[in-house]
Amino acid sequence: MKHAGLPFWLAVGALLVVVLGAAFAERLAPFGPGEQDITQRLQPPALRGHVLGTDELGRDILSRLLYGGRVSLLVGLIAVGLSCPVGMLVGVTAGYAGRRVDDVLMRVTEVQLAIPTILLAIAVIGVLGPGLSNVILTLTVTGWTLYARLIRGETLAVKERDYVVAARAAGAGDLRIMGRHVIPNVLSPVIVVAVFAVANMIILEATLSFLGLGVEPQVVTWGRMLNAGRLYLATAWWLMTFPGLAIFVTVLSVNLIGDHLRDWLDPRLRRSLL
Amino acid sequence: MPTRRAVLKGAAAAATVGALAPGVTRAQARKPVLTIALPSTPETIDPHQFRSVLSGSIINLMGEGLLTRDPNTMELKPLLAESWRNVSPTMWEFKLRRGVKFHNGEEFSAECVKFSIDRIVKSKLNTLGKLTWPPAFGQETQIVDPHTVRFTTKVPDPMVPARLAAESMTMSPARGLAEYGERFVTDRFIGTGPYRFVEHVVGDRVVVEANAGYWGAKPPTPRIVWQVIPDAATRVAALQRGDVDVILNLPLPLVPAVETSPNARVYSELSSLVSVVLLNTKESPALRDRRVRQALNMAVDRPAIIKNLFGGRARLLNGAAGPAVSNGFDPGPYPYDPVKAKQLLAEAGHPNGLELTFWQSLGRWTQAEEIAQVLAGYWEKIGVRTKLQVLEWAEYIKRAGGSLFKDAFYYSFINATWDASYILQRFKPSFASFRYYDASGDLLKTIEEYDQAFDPKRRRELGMKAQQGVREEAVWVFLWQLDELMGVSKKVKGFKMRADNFIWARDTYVEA
Amino acid sequence: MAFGVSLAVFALVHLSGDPVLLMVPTDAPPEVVAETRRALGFDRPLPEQFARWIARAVQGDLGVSLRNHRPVAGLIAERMPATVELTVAALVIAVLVAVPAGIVSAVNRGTWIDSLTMVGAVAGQALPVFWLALLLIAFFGVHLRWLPVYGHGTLAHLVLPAVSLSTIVLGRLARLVRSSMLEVLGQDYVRTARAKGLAEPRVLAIHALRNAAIPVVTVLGLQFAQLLGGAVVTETIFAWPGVGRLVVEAIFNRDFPIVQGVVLVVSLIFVVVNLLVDVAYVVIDPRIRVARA
Repeated sequence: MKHAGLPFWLAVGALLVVVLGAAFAERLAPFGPGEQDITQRLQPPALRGHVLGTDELGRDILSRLLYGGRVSLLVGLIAVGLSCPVGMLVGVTAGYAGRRVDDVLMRVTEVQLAIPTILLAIAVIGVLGPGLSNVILTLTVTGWTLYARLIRGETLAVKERDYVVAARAAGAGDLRIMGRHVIPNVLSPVIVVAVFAVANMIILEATLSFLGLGVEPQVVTWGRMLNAGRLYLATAWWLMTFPGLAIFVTVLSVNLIGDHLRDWLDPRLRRSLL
Repeated sequence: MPTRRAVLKGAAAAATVGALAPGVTRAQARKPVLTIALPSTPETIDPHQFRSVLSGSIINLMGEGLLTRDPNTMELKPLLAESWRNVSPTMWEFKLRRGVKFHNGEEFSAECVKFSIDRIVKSKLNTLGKLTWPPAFGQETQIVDPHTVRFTTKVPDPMVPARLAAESMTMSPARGLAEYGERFVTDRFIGTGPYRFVEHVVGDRVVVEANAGYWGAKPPTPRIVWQVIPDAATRVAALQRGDVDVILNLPLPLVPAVETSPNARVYSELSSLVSVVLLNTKESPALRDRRVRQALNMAVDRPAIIKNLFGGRARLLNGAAGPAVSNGFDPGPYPYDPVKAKQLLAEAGHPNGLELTFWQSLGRWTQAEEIAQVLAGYWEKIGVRTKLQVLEWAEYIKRAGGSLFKDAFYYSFINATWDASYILQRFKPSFASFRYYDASGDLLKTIEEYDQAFDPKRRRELGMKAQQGVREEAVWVFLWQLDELMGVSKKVKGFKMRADNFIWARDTYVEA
Repeated sequence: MAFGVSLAVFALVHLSGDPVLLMVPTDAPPEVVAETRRALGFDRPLPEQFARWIARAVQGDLGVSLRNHRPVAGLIAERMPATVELTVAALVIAVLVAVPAGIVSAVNRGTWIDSLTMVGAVAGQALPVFWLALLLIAFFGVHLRWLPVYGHGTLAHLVLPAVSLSTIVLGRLARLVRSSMLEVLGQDYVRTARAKGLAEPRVLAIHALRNAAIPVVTVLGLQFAQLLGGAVVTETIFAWPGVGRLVVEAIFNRDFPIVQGVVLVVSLIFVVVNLLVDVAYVVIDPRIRVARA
């Protein structure tokens, strides 16, 4: 890997900590994430007991950070995991299937791209109501267009390559060609985009929380913690700082890793719209 | 020794200066603009269409009704009406003030009263007044002479003066707004108030300025700007910087920021909003049993919540209407007794607890989420497995009013007529919305009698009985009345929030 | 395309809930509700409602707000300039910061300057905008008292909101500039120019920048839409009287006409911006005939 310097390895390390923390939350968390005790609310971080302090309902912040990380990461991963195939499908079909299909699919994509993501998210949640599954659905619906455009461009390029032309000449079916030849070659840029998308989803979830359109109250995410702590910035800084740091470190790490991933996978990809 | 003439001359001169000076020195000592920061948009400046206490407060500066309430005592006071009397159970007579002119120069007269009341009650428009004085009363306004009106109703209505004191019953000019009998007014406001309309930038601000031709005491501040700043932290920052003079809706966590600010202080009054959890006794078999409802009441340690969550800035609410309103009464709290609560649940047939869905709306009430989680926590402890659901306000109010919430939901009621009946009427089967509990038998009879009673003593008796009955029935989970918190610059004088949450800005000014 | 957008939003917004119940007092009897619905035309079938709306929109009549009964077109006209001002300012700030950062990074590729600059640029995107805005308000507004924290009017009012908003695109832009520059710097004609002995800055300026500018300009167009969306949060925090806040409140209030009107206008703007981007392509290098990919 080119110049995989200190920042890159720090990022990998940080992400590893986050992921492990989220995965083993049950074992690592000293308290339950929903254990409330209003007589213990807003306690500052202490060496023993609540290491990162307690929130407005007396719940342990460290525990909520761990469990919250799980949900925040999962939301991002699932949303990307759903939107990516959808977008790829649309993109490959558009690129491969010919002018008319291409036009129609691209129109739809452009229509959605013309609407700012947040507005679309608000509108969708407005219809469905807030809640974890609806948030994931919303993020999926707003996210697929990213891949569609990208893949379509790449498909168009790959379509004229030798091996594809040869396969077609040999009589291979369209689906087969798409599956065996096109998709593997467009996978690299998709992976890069997907990685960055996960990071963006985490931020988007926090923004939806800010607007009151996030997950249910009993589900803990970093976005929810960040928002709940907003009013306590001056009086109980730990409520906002730790989830904020968690988001910051995670997103930063993911972005840095994504950068290197892109450099590594194919320098040509820089041309892609990221 | 000055001559008599000199003394008189001096006295005359002093008197002249004295007449001029208060205006001159006062103007020098006061800021010309008072800026009040609000969390959200007044939705309209139509005199009869507004929906929120806030909008009403702003409109209250520009438009006036026949009666008003004293900002300190909540007593009914004459405003555009000078006096009134009850002619018969179905007829009231009002004598109107003379020499009052609208902002457009039109003379206030009985014709305007009829125009206004007809617009409020009889038009197709959705006026808040239809809630305050439901058209079911069959109101008719009779012009006896230019300064006397009579209101007749189909059923006896002892509450007419209280209704007319509500801010939704503003008087509008019959000629000036003649084309708006069935249309909304969006671009102007014509009233009789101490302030006149300057501009309404939707979503951003409303500006009013002093009315030179006002019939009453001249308002102390030439201009008031009601500025929308949606984010609470930004509101507080603006107050700290001195960019605004007053901020409304100060969330409790931000109180220290204002308290420690050298140029501002916290102003709090008990809110009239009664905060409760409504229980759907129609859809939930479990909640139909009074014992279950009582258990839900006893499971919650309200004093602890008030102490820890609200920093003591709240008062227990034990009855439906709260003790401050006319005929309001405190029937005594349900004790915090989780053991007894569990017992009651077992007696009612739920020894292993039960499932409950609990709805809350975010963004409408301060600390809404914390409240919901705390309540859920207490109910969980007696075996009521609570599922929390949130909705944003638009959908929430639709479901709440449309009686669509299953199980339980949080709500805070205002009291527009400042009488226990405003709340108690909700339990009558004939009430149009929020149909979650129907009073029956003795309780229903008491409420109906109360509605028609004219004698104050009788009203108080019946009111007490009704509220006691509602409490026994544990119709709701009675929670609290919170303090309404505001931030006020130390240089602001005369700013008040009335007991019914209306902002009284008429007498407010800022020292320069 | 604007038609398609409008249709999509119309459907979505109408599915999202019944605005009539929001407009009547909560205790209103059913006859009042029905009457209101009839008066507003909501009892007609959806396609008919949409057709009427389009017909009027084409003539410039975007309907009337359900909540405050003002003409939507007027409301949008009142608020749009503020949002455009904010978005453009944010874009300008982003460009002013990201372009030099990207160039510096590319030129010093592999060094700690490169790493630091990139991390710095990306860091801005790793924070939700509202958090950054809050910190900026607390520090520059209250603590230092340098800048006002709400409202609109002077340049000073623009600073904090525009800076907050710019962070949404800053990182991506800087990265893009860097990678464009890297690609260009490695190209043959640049090496040729260097071999010819042209001074380095000249090489950079004339050849590298111009070619690097193309993807950047493309992205600017796309980011404009994202910025318009991000403006929603910024406008809320800074009480900025723009269209973002207007439309968010409208969605919460089920004020359909406003939502439809704003989306229509925004998508029209988007179309215009894309056209400008296409024009900019040609201007930057007439040799490039890029089929719109």
